[in-house]
Amino acid sequence: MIKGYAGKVLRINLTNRRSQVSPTPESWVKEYLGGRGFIARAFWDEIKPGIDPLGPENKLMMAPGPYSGQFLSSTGKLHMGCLSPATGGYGDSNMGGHMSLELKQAGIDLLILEGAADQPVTITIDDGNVAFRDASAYWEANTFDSERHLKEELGEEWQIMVIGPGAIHGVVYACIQHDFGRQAGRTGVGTVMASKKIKAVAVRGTKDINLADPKTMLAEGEKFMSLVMGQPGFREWQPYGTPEVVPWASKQNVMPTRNFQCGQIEGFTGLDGPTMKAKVTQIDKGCTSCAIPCGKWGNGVLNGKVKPQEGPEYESVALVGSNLGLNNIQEVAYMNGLCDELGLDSISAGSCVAWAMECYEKGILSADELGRPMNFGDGEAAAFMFEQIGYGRGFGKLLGQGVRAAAAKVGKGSEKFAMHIKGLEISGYEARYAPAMMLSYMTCDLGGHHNRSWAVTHDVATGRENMDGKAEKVVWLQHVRPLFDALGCCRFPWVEAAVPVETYASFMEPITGNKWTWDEMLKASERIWNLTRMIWVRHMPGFGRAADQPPYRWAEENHTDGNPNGKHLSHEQIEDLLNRYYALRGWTENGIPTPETLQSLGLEFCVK
Amino acid sequence: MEGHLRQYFPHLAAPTVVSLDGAPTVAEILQAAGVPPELPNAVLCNKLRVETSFVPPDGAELVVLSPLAGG
Repeated sequence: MIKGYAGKVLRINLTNRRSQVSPTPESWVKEYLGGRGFIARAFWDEIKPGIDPLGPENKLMMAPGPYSGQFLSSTGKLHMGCLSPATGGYGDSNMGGHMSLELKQAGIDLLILEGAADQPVTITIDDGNVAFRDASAYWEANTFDSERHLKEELGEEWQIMVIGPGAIHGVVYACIQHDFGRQAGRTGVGTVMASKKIKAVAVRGTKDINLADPKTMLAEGEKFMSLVMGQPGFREWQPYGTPEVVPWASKQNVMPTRNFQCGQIEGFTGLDGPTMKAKVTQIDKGCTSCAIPCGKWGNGVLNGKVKPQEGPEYESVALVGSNLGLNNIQEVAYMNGLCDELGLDSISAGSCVAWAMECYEKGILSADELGRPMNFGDGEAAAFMFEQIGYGRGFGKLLGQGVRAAAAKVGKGSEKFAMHIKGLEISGYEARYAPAMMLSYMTCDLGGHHNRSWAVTHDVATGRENMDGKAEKVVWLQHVRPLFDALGCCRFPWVEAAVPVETYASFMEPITGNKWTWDEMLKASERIWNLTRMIWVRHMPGFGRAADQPPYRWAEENHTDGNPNGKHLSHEQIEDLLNRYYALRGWTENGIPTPETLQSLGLEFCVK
Repeated sequence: MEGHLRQYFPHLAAPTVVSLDGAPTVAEILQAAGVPPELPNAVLCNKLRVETSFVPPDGAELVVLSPLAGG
């Protein structure tokens, strides 16, 4: 039995409704840690090139990590992954809440869902015992109603993951929801769940997690809790959650506004943390064992219509707020609640609607084609289109295929303001004159996503015009930040409450019995990073440097406001950043890991 | 200084005394310490959040907070 882990891989085949248990491979523990690492490793072994992301051959995998659910603040993260229907490449996402602990206490380190059912089902996992329930009656219900229904049917002690109408109607960026508002939002994990006809996964776990040294872990956990709660940063931002950063992002002109046409919306203080606390938030909501309850539960309001929701987080404030021309936090919360209810990734959905609004304002698409006028700043228009997307109606059907597909279909120059990288809509930072942040987006192993490397502060602190040190910073961040996804914990104690990141190495010994240095943990993260890169190489014929390019708007159009007004990175600067990055990583000029690099990381199996 | 901005201003990782004549604003104190005033997410003066135009009293303790760093 591996200490600190549940010890089992649970495989559920939806086609024949059989389940199978195997031991968690010990070598994976040493090389990939857990969470995202286990998923990347299993992805390589099990998901073959050339398959349809929405076919039964694709697999949806979920994995807590060694730190998940320990007596340690902010360890409620569950990671999941699959071949992404949004990008066609490696896809993963994570969510907070209580599911990671529940899965682990049910005895599971890795859950693999494969095949496809012929009828809608809910899977129940009761301490590892698998059963199937007919989900036809609530297959089309929204996420909140579905979760509420299952809580009533099964009992409050069960933890539930559900999909909503967006997934069922084939939106390629559909979420999996848990705990009434926690979303695994990116890359279409919910869409893959729907393709397997799984409406929900319900888990109840009561088993102990066998720690190597519980007494020391308890002491370390108490010390860590005090450390987190004693940080001035914690006390200042916790009451407001991540919208706390709205004023800073706006003043730096990095907050996407009107489909990334500029970086600051007028009246941005209407979207900040204190305004949200005053007008939206009713109660704080946290994950398992967390000292920093950053979730904010409250009502969104649009023209008198009320929608209870959790959030919105900064990313949603940016993508369904300023990027749609909205600066009223109650309306933005309404959009966020609507996306959650429909099971839509608010980042991707917001980006698609913003693109449609720009198409309308530029005369590329008419009100007839869109179903109504679609001006920026019109909350009713945005809400209308989110519903069209979620239910697969009208123009929403096309927007549900992502902004890359929509722009390819519409044409007429709209491709130039389709804001995606590798097919994944870009999240909440305007980066055309922020080299480290732009490089972060260009090389993220999901596509246009921020959470692998958040480098805006680095750009501002070291000079946006200065290219030196940017690639080094991005590589370092891409090892540190995803490491949290492998450990099964949240980055906020480090990135928001300023706990020294190296602290995280000290917990491995009392949990697993194995001493890990911080550098060894970073090496594992580098291994995972190269493995996910090789998954892209394997699944996308011709994959390489061309896939790492920014969208046209960032490569060709200047900033239109603030300090960076009139500027964007030149082609030469963009290529220079990539050259430096590839060299640091030991990749070819085309962005492919060399055989020597792969071998040095123990990834010989990736060498053809 | 708290948070990830410390790496750019290591001289402020530990408490530092900044002495200026007159009645300087928070922005002027930050500049004197080598920190661009627009860079921090927030500044606390004696544990209360203040604007960079605020004039702290003599002997005040300023805490400089880094921007939040993405989820």
